Amino acid sequence: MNKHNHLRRNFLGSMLGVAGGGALPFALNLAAMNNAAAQSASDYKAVVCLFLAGGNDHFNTVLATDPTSWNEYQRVRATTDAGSIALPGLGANGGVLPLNLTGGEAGRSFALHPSMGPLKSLFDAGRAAVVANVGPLIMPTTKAQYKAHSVNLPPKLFSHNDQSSTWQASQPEGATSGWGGRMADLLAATNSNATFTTISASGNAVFLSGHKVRQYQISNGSALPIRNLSGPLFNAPANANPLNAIITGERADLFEKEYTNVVKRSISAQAVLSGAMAPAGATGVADPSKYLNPKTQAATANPVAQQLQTVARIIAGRGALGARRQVFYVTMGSFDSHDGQKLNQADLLTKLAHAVAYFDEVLATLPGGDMRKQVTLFTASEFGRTFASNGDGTDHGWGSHHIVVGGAVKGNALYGNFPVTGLNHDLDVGSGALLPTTSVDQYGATIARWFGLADSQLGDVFPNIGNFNQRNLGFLA
Amino acid sequence: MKFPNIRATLALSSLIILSACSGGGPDSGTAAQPSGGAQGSIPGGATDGSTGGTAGSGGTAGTGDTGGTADTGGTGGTGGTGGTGGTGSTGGTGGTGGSGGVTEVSAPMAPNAASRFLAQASFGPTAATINQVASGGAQAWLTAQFAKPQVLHRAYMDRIQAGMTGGSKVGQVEVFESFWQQAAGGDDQLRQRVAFALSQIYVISMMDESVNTLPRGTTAYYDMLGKNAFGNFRDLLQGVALHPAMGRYLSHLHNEKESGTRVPDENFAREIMQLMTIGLYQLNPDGSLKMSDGKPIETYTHDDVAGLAKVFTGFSWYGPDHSANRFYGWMAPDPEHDIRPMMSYPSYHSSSEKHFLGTTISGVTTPEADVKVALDTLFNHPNVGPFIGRQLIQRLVMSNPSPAYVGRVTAAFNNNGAGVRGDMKAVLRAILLDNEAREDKPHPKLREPILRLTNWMRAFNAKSASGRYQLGYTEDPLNSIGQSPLRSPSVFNYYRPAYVPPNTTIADAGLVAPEMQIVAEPSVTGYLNYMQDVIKYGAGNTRDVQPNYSTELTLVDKPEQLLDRVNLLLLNGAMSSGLRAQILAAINSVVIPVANSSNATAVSNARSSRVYLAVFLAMASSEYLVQK
Repeated sequence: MNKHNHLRRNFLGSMLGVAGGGALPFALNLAAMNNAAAQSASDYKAVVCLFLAGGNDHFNTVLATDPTSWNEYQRVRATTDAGSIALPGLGANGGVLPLNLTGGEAGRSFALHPSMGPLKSLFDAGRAAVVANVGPLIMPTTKAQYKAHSVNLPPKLFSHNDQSSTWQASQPEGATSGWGGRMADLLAATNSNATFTTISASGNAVFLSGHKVRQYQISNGSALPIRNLSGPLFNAPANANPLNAIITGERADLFEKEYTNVVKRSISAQAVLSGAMAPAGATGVADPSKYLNPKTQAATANPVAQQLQTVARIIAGRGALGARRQVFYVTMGSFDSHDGQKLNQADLLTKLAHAVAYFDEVLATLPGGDMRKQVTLFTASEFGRTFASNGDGTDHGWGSHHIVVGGAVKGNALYGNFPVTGLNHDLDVGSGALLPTTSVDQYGATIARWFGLADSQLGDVFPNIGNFNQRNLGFLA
Repeated sequence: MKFPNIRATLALSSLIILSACSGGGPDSGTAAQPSGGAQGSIPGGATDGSTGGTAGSGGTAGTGDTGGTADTGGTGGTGGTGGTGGTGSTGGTGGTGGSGGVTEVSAPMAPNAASRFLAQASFGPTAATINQVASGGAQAWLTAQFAKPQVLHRAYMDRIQAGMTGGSKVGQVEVFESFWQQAAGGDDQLRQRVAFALSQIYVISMMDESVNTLPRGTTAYYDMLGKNAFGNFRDLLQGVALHPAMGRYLSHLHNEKESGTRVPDENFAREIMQLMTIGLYQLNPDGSLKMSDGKPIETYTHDDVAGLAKVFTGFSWYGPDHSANRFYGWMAPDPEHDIRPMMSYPSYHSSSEKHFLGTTISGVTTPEADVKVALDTLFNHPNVGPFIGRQLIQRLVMSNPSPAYVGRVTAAFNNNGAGVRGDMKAVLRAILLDNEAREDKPHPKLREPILRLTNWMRAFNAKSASGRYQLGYTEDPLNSIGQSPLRSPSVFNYYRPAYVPPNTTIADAGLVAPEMQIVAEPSVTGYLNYMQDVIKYGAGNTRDVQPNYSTELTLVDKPEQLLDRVNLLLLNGAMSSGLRAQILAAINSVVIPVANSSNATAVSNARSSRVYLAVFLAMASSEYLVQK
């Protein structure tokens, strides 16, 4: 407790120092920003959370392909239904894509979903890794303990909204701070402008809210000004235009006050960000190509690549923003593949691989130099899914395989324990849903250490990390 | 005193005569309101009570006019059961807490109070509806609204489809058109507003292609919500559970029984419990959590989900046969497949025992009988009243109702006074006539973007030139209002009922603010820019929806009266003196030239600009955005 308060005080103090005496902690200070710009170039890191909303079917994302595993996979997932979700094997037409991962158990081999070719290339190039069977845990838990409820378990397992929140914020829905935001609390002082410490390119995410830090949201790749905020308004001359005063005036009602705070932040941030971001296109960050939609066979815009373009444009503007540590959030939806999984997941994973490869490419050629070693992207999703099929889809699970990508990743490797393939094994909590063997806290703490947190700070960000022996899974250098 | 105390002002029965705004003559003897705007004072207009005569019709609650619609059969016998079966240990809550009960508002109301009531019970007050409620009272207005015939959105789709040529098909934009048309202009405002509220609890979303391929089905679903908004909750559940649009959205359409390694799809079974009936934790009648050893008590386990999932197997598209091809949707569908309830295909229905929520269904039964048991079980769970009642209060009235208020709504849900459980009219009366909804105290709720736009459309009698209200997609937060009807991002709606904005004084105060979940830097900017444009030029892709400011234009020489009117129509009479002064100064800064033979355009522009300033600056203010 004491330690925590101490951290908060320090944080607030340094914020005030940066922003200048009487200013609000989150006020902008251009002079300070420009000072920071000089020192920011060499020491910059960003973390990007790519959230797969709906619960990705990890069993069809990273697959074990050694004969024992593959036979069991086919036995369970190859149903007689027309929409059978079993994927074609290695070497088959449209079959899974072999990986050559280090770190797996002897005798096992692995592959990616057939739609993830561009991501396979990143694995082969050593900039992507798999972290197996990750999920929310309070402490290491066995199946017997789970069944008997003899250890504390994350509440509201299998519920979308609650497990989204638990993944991002260590608590079910209603949580008000996430581990991205809590990391940022501890590092925001290194930024001259705290407003741009956590940024969502895809709506409101509790992941990015800290105890102090607030997320900044950006949409459509640009921050637009409020029209006629100054100057004439509807024939009222500039000196009689009260729009700014009306929308930013202090309010007593709490709802009005907080709405007004967002308006004020929007105005001040837009003024800075619109000038700092690198442009989209040839003179800045190249536009993403379209991807081939496997459902329609049409070249189609990729919204998640567009979000990552926005992230890259902000990273390119880090100097002008005075940013040295930034946490980003991007998302893709529709992973809740209860039905129609075969085509739908193929489309989603095509987009994912296309977007991640695009991001790797633009980071390599960012104005100001190759930033791949300074940017780590990781996947998250509220849960994995059941191994059993309902005919053309799967249901809510728990543990899931995840992927980390970046120049700092010790890649082409597998971390954590890849479970046996099948049903009724000692990690099967029902229909093949996995009891996680690596906690979200461990996964996040590994990223946090790379990001610059001290080991002693991890407990402030990851409330259950103290229950796990291994605090750094070692996938980042 | 932002809102005149209703009880204290009943005797005043002051009724301002607002021009009926029927689109006719631009100046219709508007608002003889005193200016100078001491806030909350009621402009003392003439009162002729021409719409009176309904005042004596109070006490309609409990007339038992619900009866249930014939198509469920499951309703009648279950009334009054279950209600409090498991509540033994709870401290006495609900029912009749303290000051509670329904406010007696059968008599005339002050215009400000009437406007505020209409902000809660309709898509926004108009001069005409303010007059109706002010003269006849809230209760009489509800009774009249309950009797209004329903206009089907689906009929609109059929009409537009019939006029299409070249193989064109109605799609999402036509769903939007029908929504805006009825929200803006429909006479059955209460039904439409409650349907919209229900659409945020019983969510289907055209964001998902399972639904956006069924545009007519989507309107039929919305009509089903509208029908049952004034029916019985049990029928609402039946309608939701077996509607093909919901079947597609939550994937129990062509869900199959277990076989070999295959298990039934659990999607709908989970969400009907978590989101649509009972929620995750056992509740007291006042909505507070029941506790056991200091911990909340879960309402269901994963085993209950798996058991209930078996019930929702063997249902698929309506049609004349029960073939496999029809079940799987591999053949040309029946013309009514998207609007008729799903039908059962017994050979795909699980015949094993089904256990859920303490109920067991033996294997030998029919799909329909299983669904009846399942929905009866959910309907009679004591959580439904507080779980759904609280959310409806949040959608219509306020974000943070007191436990006593929730308890009173629960009591009305459990028993309408005539022994009927689930009477939606009784629930709506309890919500909208409750003292906490009507009392003279601010109870904040952020107006969501769709309601802001309908508020503007209704207040200024906006009409569609094409008749189609072609607003298109409105969900872009930066370039539109950040919300399209029937297109929430997921089954969890645009925002969650318990959302707490982090690091805010709202959080510090222990309050929730659901609509704040979609408030962010892009959306606050987008809203202001969109309205600034629309207020002047009209809304929609071709400026199809045009406001009628004829009454306001008659007031531009009397800016105080212009502001009185805007205050009443948009801020329910609650505009602060500070905001009023700011807007007034802006209006007065626009000089209206003395008319001569050559400056008609300049005069017209100046007059219009005064209206735009009044409307836009009011709608830009946080005072407007937070309904109180």
